[in-house]
Amino acid sequence: MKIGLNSHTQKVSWDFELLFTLVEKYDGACLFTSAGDESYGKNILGINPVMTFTDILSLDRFHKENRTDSEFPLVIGHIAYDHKDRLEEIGLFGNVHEDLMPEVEFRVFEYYMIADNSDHSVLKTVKLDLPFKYKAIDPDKIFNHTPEKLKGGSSKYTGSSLSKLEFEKKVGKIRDYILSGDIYQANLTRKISAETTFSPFELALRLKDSNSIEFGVFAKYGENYVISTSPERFFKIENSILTSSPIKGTAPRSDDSDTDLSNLKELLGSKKELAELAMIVDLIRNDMNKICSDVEVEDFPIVMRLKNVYHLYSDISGRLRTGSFFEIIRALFPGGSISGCPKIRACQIIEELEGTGRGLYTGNFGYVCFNGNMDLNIMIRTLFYNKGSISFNAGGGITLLSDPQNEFIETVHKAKNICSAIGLEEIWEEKSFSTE
Amino acid sequence: MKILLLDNYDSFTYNLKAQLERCSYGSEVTVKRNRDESVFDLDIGCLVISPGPMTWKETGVLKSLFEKRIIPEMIPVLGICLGMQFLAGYYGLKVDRISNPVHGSAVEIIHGGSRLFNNIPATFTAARYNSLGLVNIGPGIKEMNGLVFTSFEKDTGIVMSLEHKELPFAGFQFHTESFLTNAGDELISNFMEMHFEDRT
Repeated sequence: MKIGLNSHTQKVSWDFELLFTLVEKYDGACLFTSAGDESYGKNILGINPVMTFTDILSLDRFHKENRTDSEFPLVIGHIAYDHKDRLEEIGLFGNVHEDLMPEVEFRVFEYYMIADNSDHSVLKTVKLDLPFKYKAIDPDKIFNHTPEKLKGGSSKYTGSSLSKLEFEKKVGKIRDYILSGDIYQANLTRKISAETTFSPFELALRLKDSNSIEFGVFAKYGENYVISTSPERFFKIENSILTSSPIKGTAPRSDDSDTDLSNLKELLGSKKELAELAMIVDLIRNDMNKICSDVEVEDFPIVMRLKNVYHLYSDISGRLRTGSFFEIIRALFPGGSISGCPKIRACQIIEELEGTGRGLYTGNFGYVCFNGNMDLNIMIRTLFYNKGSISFNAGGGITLLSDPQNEFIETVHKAKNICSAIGLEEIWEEKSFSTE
Repeated sequence: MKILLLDNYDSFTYNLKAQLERCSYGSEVTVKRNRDESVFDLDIGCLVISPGPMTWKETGVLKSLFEKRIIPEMIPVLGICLGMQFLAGYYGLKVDRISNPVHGSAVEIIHGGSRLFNNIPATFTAARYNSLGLVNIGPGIKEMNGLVFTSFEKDTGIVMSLEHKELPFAGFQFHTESFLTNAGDELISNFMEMHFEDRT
C-alpha cells in the first residue's frame, strides 16, 4: 500500500492548549518538549488515526513499502515493557502482563503537524493521501475548536503496589541476588494509584508545566490516555546514526543554592552513581553492537538538570547496519536503564519482585518517519488515565551499594513533581518515614 | 579462523564479539547461547566463553562441550569473568563469594609479565563486574591444579587471570570488553597471537 503526502505550512498561531485540544477531539498523539536540542527538538502531533499496527513486524513491512525521503512521521505509537516476552526465547520470562492497553500500538494519522517552540505562528502540516476509504476530518473545522474550560480538580491517593517496608525488603532481596552473582543491577519500581476529578486535558497541561520535559507525551486512545513527563531518550536514528542516552544516577535539587550545588558535586563524585551508569553504558553498547558498527561512548557522564532532581546520563552512538525497525527493537528492547544488568536475569528478578506487569510504563513512545529516522523515549514519569482512575510508577536502579531507605526516598523524589502537579498529597503521609 | 562465542545469557556478549572481530585478524565470530545443542557440531577454531549471571555450574552445555570437543581437540579457550570461573571450577579451584564485590568500576591490576600481558603496562586499569571469584588463593600461591595465576587486583590480591600450564586455556576475571578497561584490545590480540600466529 502506497501512501502519498500533501504538505503545507499553516499560518496558524498555536499553543499547547490547541495541540492538546486536537489530541482530545481527534484521538491524537502529541510528543512535546519544553526546549532545546537535547530532545525531540520540536512538538509533533498526529490526529485522526486511520490505520493501526499492533505488531512490529507488520509495521516493518508497511514501512518498507512506504520508504521515501520525507522527514514527516509515518506512525506514532508505543511499545509496552511487557512486550519483552515476545522478543526473547520462549520460556525465559513469566508472561506477566497488564492488559489496560495493547502491548504494541502504532497509528497512522490523517494529519501530522510539527510545531517549533521558537515560532508560535506556524504549524507545519501534512495530510496523508490514503488509498482507501476512511472517515476524514473536515479541513475547515480543524482549528475551530475552543479549548476545554479548565475546571480544576483534586486527586485522591488509593494505594501503592509496594509499601515502604515491602519496597525496602525487595531492595534487600536484589542485593542478595547481586551477592550470589545473578546480576549487578535491577530496576525496582512501585505503582502509585489514585482517583482524580481533573480532566485528562487539564492533567496534561498541568504535567507539561510541572518540570522541564524533553520527551513528553499526551496521547488518547478512546477512553485511555497517556501523559508522559519523561526526561529520557531510548534512542533516536538520524541518517543511519543511532544514539542512545540512558539515564542513571539521581540527586535531589534544593531551593538553597549551596545545598543544591553540593548535591550536584556529591552526585558527580559518587562511585555508586557512576558505577550504576557505567554498567548500563556497557549494556547499551552491547545491545547496539548487535545492529551497529563503530559503537562509541560519546560522553560520560553528562549532567541533566530537572526541577526536582539532577540526573547523570551518557550518549552512545553507532552506525546502523539495518533499516528494519523490528531488528532494531529486538536488539535494544527493553531499555537497559529501566531493566538491569545482565538484562535477561534482571527482568526475571523484576517480574518476581514487582509481581505484576508494567504495561506501558518503562516501554517506549515515539515516532518512525517515512525516511527511516525515528525517536523513542523511555516511558518513565508517566501517568495513565482511564475514566478518572490514574496510576504512575516510580523506581530506581538497585546495586550492591544501594541503601534500602535511600532508594525508597529516591522514588519519592522522582514522584514529587507528578504528585504536586495533580494535587496528590496523601502519598506523603501514607508512606511516612517519621514512624520508623 | 572460526571463533565460537558461547553466550551465557549475558548483556556484554556483543561487546566481546565486536572486540574479537577487531582483534582476531578478521576471524568469523559466531554467537550461540549456552543452551544451544547445535554447538557440538560446529567448526570451532577457538572457544570464547562470555561473562554471565549466576555460577560456573549454571552454564548449560558448556561442560559437556568442553569434554566432548574442546579437550580432545585441544581447541584454545578464552574465558571472561564467568568464563574464567568456569575454567577455575572445572579444574577444581574454589569459586565462591568474595569479600569485595565490585560492579561497573575500574580497578588497578598488576601482572607478572606472562606472554598474555606482552606490552601491557605493569599496572593497568580494568572494569570488574563480579561478586564471585577465586577464594582460598593466598599471597605467594602462583599456581594450583595446573592453572597459573598471572595477574591480581592491586588492592586486594584477588586473582584476575589464569592460564593453563599445558593446554591453550586462559581466562580474565575483569572485563576486556568494557569501555572502562584501557588495555582490553591488546590483551585479546595477545591471546590470539599466542595461539593462532601461525594460522593467519
